[in-house]
Amino acid sequence: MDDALFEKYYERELEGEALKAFEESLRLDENFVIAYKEYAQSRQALQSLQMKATENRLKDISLPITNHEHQHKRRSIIRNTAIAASLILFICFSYLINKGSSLDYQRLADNFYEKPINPAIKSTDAAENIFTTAYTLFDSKDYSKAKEAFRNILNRDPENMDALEGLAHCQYQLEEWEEASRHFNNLYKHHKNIASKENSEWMMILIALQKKAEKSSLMEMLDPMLNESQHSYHFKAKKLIESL
Amino acid sequence: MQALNNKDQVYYEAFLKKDHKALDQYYRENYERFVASILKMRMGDIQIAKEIYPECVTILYYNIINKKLEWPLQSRLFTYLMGVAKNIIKNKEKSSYARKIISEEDMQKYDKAFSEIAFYDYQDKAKAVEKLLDLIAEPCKEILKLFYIKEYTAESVSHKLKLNSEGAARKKKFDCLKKLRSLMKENRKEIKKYL
Repeated sequence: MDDALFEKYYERELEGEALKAFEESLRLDENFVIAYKEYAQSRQALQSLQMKATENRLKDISLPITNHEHQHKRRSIIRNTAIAASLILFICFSYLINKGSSLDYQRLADNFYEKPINPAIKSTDAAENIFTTAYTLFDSKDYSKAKEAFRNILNRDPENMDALEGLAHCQYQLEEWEEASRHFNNLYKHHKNIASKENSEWMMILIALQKKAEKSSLMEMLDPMLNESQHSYHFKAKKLIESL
Repeated sequence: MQALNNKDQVYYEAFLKKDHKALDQYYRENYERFVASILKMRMGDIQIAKEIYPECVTILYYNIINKKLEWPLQSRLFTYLMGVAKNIIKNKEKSSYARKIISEEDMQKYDKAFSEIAFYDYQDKAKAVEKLLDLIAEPCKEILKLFYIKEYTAESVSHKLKLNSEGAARKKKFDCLKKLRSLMKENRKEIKKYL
């Protein structure tokens, strides 16, 4: 068996009659198949090393620190600052108690924890916990509570696109079409993530369908998706058009 | 949108030609977006995202080279990359993160992309093959590495190893590949699970 020929086939360099003859041998000659299979396996084995080498080379490329890493570092700083502030306040409370102050300390403490120390608290781990709670509520289909949770995040951080997206989806589930549509429209205009933009575009169409919009306006909304074969909702849009 | 797709096509064609510069550029360009998406989809944390990113891009690159991913694509390259990531995370069983419901459509999209992925788990296989190569004496080991891993031309190999001609380099290449095949046969039991 000729390795050079195997290599050409493996590298997809065989053409015309040579390719036909090779594939004919693969169909008819069992020994040929076994020999080629062994050749291909050895090449695949070597390719795994090549892939590993490529991966290692990519690892050597220095990459910028992501915004998320910055955020992570910032969160640590904020968390430590918050802990330090809590300790100072605790010491102050203890001092006031010893002084026999007439303040209702329990109430004061409650208020202290109810309110954010400052607007920067939005990016602490506590905020992430609220996010987790919001998504969990959504998962359990408690859309009203999930909506409130997402709204709470937005109250602290009005530019949080993830929370806005969550809120819009809750409102969609709660059939609050106008509000949901307005939020999806905002997300479509301002979200930097393309997947979210496209999702918002699609959600606006679903809302229009719920609101029994006219076929012409639906067609207008679907048009960009239909014209764009790489759009994530291209196939769904096609199916939808067929059913209209 | 069109511009993005054009970019995908440019990268796709460059990868087909094994253009390493394009690979490096794609790798740099998509890093932040990749990390952000992993976090947003709650597929993992920053550490996981950073750990798997080179592996994901490598798989994307080789799936294009091996024509497992052919033009026109059914999704964006990045969507496909996320599909690879999803698969890797699933394989590593590291993801204890719940799915983020607002991204259900996205997840379906990645599932769809994943169904198109001829996933090639090369990590363990590479380790096994490395062990096999250690059993091959020089200069065969070097010849195989130069030809098939570093992709040197026959001319470069003959020059580097001071062989008489390109033809001699090619002949040695096939001889060494035969040695590897016989070693693979002998060690079939050990490496079977990777083949």
